[in-house]
Amino acid sequence: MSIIVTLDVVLAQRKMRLNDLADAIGITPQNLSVLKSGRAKAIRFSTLEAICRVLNCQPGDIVRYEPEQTHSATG
Amino acid sequence: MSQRTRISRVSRAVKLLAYALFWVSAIVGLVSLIGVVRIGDTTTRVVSAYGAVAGPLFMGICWHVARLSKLYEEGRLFTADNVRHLKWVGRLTLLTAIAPTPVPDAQTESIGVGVEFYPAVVLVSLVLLFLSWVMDEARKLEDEAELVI
Repeated sequence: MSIIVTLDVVLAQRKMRLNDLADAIGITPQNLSVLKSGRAKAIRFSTLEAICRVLNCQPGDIVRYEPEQTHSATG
Repeated sequence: MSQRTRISRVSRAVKLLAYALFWVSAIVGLVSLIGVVRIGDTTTRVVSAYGAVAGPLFMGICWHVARLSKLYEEGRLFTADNVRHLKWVGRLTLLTAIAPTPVPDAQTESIGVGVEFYPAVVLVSLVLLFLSWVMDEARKLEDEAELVI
């Protein structure tokens, strides 16, 4: 997928554990782990708002876009 | 009484009924098989042969209905196992619609074997197969919804 989740980077910078963040924003650690590992299909704005509020960051600090590399034949 | 308790209780009753019908048809099938092997009368053999074909089909339907009810009793309503059992009930019901049946002949006072077409049973089996497909699609939607954080 082209959307990369960098939640683990921000957690490390804030020295916060995943479980603590999950408790603070009111979702289960399992759900947050799905997001952190990049397996999530979508994220609600309410969840994104809660994460940014607790971690004091911007949405762009947690997710970024990387275009998929297309392999082309070189001649 | 909560909905979940109601589902569990009704499912348990259906499960016990299905298991009871399974064992009754197993015994009847066994008796029919003995009739085919040991009794020389042709009429009895034909009727027994019908039991030997239709019996296992009915047993299969009862088995899968029992397993499906057990899943409902455990609160598992939309899993891949539910879909699999419902599909088998539909397939076996379709097979019973075309299973050979004894056909009495009044003129010769005998019983032959024919294949009767039961449109209502075919329709029921197609509805069951359609419902299993819808349930499978709903299960996939639920799985995808779980990945929305």
